Amino acid sequence: MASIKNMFRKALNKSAGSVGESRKHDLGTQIVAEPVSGDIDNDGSVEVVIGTNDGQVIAYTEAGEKKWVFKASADVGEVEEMFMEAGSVNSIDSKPFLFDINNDGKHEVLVGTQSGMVYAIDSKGKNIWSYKAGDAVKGSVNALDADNDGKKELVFGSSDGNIYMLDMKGKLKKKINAGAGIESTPVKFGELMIICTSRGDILAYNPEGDREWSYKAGNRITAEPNILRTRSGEEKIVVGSTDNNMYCLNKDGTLNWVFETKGAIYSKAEITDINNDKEEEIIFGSCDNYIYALDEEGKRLWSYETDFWIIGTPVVMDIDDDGKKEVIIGSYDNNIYVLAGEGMYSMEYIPGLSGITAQEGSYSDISTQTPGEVIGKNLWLIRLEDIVIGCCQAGKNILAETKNGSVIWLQHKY
Amino acid sequence: MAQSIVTSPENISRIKTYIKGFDENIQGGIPEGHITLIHGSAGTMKSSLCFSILYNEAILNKKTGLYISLEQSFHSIIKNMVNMGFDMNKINLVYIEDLANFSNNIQELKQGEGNLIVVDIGAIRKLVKDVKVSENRSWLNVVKNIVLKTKKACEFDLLTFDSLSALYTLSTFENPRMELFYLFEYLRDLEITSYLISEENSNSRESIYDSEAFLSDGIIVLRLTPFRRNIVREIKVDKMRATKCNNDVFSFEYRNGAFHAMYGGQNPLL
Repeated sequence: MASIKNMFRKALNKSAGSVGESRKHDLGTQIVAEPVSGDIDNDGSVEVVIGTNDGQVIAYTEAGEKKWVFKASADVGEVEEMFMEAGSVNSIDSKPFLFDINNDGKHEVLVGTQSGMVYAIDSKGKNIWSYKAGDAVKGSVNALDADNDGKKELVFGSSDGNIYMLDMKGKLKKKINAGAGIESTPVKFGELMIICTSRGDILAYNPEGDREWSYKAGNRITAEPNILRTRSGEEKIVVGSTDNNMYCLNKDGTLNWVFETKGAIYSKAEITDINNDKEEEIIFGSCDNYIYALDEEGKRLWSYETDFWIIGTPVVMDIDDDGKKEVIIGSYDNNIYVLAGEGMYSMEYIPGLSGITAQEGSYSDISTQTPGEVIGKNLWLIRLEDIVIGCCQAGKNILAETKNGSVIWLQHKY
Repeated sequence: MAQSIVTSPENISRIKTYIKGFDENIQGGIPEGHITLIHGSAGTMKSSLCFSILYNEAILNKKTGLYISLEQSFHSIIKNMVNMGFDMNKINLVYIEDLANFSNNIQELKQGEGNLIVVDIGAIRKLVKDVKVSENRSWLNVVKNIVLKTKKACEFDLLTFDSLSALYTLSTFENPRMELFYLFEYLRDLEITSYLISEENSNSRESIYDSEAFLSDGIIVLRLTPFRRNIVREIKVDKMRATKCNNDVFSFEYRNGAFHAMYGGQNPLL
């Protein structure tokens, strides 16, 4: 009976089936970092890696079996510890980064901690090396060829205001002072390296390590910048700030557009084509409780209001295999929202009914004005027991994490 | 942390304010686990009231209270309370003025007995002024760590934080509502009954961030009101979740070793 109902729903272009919990682990510790997925051991299936507030790095199989646990531990003095986030000396505050640092075909896991340690962990959970930065590492590590020598470096920022560049063996190659603490993740943009600071600076460094340009946002930036490729082939930098704005900058650091929300933006915007129009859209959440989808010119395609702040980065995938992308995002209202990537057309005007009165001065009942708008469309709502910190795609499933340490696998079923 | 669901009003445990004539008007006291703002201008006895609650709970109910003072020194607080007739020999008073010895100091707590821990952040600030503190390492973290470490060392129940206003000057709150939300959630997760002293600005009745009023479970307002050629202290409840309150303004005074609230806006004997 259910399958016939689903067939009808599919025929009517409606979402079919349901999304529900398939597996859950309670870790007994808080989580503040978003999860990441990738085939770390090159076995053809995806693993999920999460970092916890008590310094655990845990790898799970796609289906949710625990593979290994690594425990970060740093020796910190009592006074220094008092100034760190309570009970979180070894806390992993940002998404683990997966990269093959030793060319063995497997991905290593790189994580930074509150105490300023960066750990390189192999695909079996063994520590390869560690590096101590001058202060907390709150952004993710990235692999990019910052000095343009043809070899990638492991680059990350620290709260001590420095950008660290390590070789693949964990040795310091170069350190650049950014002038303010860093909680964001560096990215490569053409030949430039872009990094954002806690004073709201968006900084571009050339391969020599000199500052090429800077742009000042109104407040702290914790989000990782992302690169937008426009239909004309240009590349732009897109990054949100806690000053409530999403900024889009040109290659020379000038402002292309800014989109204002009513709440702080903490996480990276996802940039991908969500509605099959062959153009990239920008999707992000804000502490004004909304998730936004913008076009490349910074115009709102749709937005959807949740009941509380959105801190995490959205996941874009086709969860129900209907050929259309869904936007999946968790909110501080304890819910995971699965939204239709293309949104939904909402008519304000119905020809023959409201049109004549609605169109002042018009002699036709066919609107020449915009008769409606695209709005966000929620396909499924999954209620969890706690604040949702982040999600990632785990093969065909979604993995969601909550603040109090639940790791939940969500699956679409017909 | 899973909390049991309250099934009847009688199941709500309450902490007395030890103000005669006031507890009777708030169903016996403030619900356990509540975060209550004690709001008022200078001289309204906010600190004394909070100290009195912790002191009485330590003696009468063997509870452990933590008093974190950001500005007023330990010695100044104790001098004031002793002058009001509080006997510090009746309680196990633990004084903390050095973060480096925090773990040792906390060992002085007597398990199963009432304790009153006073953390003098002003003295700590003097000691650590030469320690390099980077911009992300705030005094808010120090406060949260003191609470957490104390909670791990003993089952402490009551917290007074004196004052939120001083914390705002020590730490930069870029997003006050969000950071206060986390602070309040932090205290709620630890299931501590908290009294947060909020100083009234001389120019305005509102505190710096009115978010705290929305996030708190209760607000008790203390104020000074001119009366003839005198000033009288008054107390009222602006907000108290899970409590049937008499929201009238009470006269508020300390006499004969106890705080008193007089119903109906009666003036103290003049």
